[in-house]
Amino acid sequence: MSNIKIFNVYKYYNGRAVLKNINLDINEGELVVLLGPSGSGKTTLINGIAGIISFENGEVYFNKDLMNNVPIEKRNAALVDQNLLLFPHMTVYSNIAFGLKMRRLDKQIIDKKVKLLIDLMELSGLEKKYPYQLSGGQAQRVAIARALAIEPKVLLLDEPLSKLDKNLRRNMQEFIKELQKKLNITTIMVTHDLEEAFIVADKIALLIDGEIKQYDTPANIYEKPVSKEVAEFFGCSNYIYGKVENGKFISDVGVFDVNVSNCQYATYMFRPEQIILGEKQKNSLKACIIKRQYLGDRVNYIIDINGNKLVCSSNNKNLNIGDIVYISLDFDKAICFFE
Amino acid sequence: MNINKILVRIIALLLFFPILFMVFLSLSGAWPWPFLMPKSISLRGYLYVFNPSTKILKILINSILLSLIVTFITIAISLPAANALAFYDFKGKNIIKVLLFLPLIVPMIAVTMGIHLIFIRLGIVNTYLGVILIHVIPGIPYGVKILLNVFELKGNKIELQAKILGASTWQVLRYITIPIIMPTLVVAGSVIYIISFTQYFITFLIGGGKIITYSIILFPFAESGDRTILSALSVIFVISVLAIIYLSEKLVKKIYKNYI
Repeated sequence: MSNIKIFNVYKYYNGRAVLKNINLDINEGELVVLLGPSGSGKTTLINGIAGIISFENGEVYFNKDLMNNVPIEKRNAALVDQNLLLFPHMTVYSNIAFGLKMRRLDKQIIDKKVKLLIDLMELSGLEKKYPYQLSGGQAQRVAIARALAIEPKVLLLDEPLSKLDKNLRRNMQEFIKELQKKLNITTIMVTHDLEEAFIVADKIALLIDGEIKQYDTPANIYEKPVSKEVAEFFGCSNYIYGKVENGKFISDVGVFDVNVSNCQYATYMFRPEQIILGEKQKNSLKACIIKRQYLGDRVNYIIDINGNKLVCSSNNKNLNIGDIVYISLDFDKAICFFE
Repeated sequence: MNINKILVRIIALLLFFPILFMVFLSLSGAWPWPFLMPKSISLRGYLYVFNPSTKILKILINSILLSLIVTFITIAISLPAANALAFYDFKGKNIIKVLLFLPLIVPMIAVTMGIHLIFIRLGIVNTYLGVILIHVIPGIPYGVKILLNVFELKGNKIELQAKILGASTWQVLRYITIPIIMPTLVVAGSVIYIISFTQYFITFLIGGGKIITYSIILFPFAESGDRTILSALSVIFVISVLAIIYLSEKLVKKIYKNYI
């Protein structure tokens, strides 16, 4: 266990930068999720931390130790690949014991540790099974147990749950989160699944086009995105463009009281759930529903206000296209970008 | 019986007939033209082979040992070579891939003539060392190519995983790579063994007639036309090769079962 520092990392493939100026500080015992669309450089970064590839520029520290020239087998950074890569010719027991055996530890010590992990990972009874005899969730837990056996300084998980079905995935997310807190092991997990990131992460590093756009807690990254790019990654957003004059935001949608200084171009962003459908009130706006998307637990309504289209999400499923509704916008909770 | 079954039987017969005929021939006594069947059955061929004064069994064992050593050396060279060709990028990689096949494209006689001169200078003509080295050459293209195909198909991710867990390069080879590619190694090894075991001319040239292998004693009988002894020798030849391949497979599996 240790804290991880990644400083000014660059990586190029064929002259194209796939990682640009990556800086990350990860505290001991934290679970950080690297989130980003495919091709954003998440796997490259995690492979670099594990030592599988080297960075052209920048430094990786585990605690205070510079890792750049430490070979893979000496780094003690356990990577769990999305393909798991269990050793097909070895039993569950031998798979978990592998790292310890390679360190030439005493047989009894190995046995004790492996048995402890088998209990912890709920794998009892499977010791003598081969990887091809395991279910997806079991194989997953063996892969993690095998990584944990070497008591790594950092546990690296590269989309470890991407091959599991949805229900199993939820269970494993909980499992990983609890395990990580129980063992207090510094963990970096790669995923492209927003929900997964929110469930497991202490902090999320959002990686787009090889750059970390924001590194923050899940709540902050969702509610206080630093840029439109970040905001848009976390789902559909509504933008209202206008200008601020004397404490009033003037836009096509209407004129609102706001608490910011004058600005020629201001953009307010509302999440669909921040646009509240309700009764006619003092500050509410009249709108017309032009589209309806049924999502099971809620309904997305696309509404029209003075020619502006906004998406709002509501639990009220009884509204139909053409209905007139009243919406209220809370500008104190909205995110404002000045340009 | 449908056409498929008939075809299968015809093909099986075509494949097995020469071997059956060889066994039959090795047991035949006098068999003058135009009789369809031999006039008598005789163990003359086998008695000759097993007669200690002919030293044929001793030569057979020597030959087997020689070919096993050749197989071992060839695999030991092919394994890292195939690994490097599969997983490392370096200049001239594609040229090397083509050059590997040179021993197959250029006749072995031409290669051996050239190497003969070098071996004379090194003083290893007429020695086992020289014969072993010359036998390694025709085996390498097969060894590297078979292993290269498997490495390229399999990738090296699982090896990287073992490294991540702290295994050294040797440990990865011993505990991961070799057990996983074992079936391929047995195939490659069998091919290399057979290539070495059947070499006649290059053994003769480098061994200078002093290193006698089984193929070398076989040849004069083919020329002289004593078909009974030739067939008996050939039957032993086939049995020895099959036995060695079978036993090595068993042995290798047993050794690796204890590792895992």
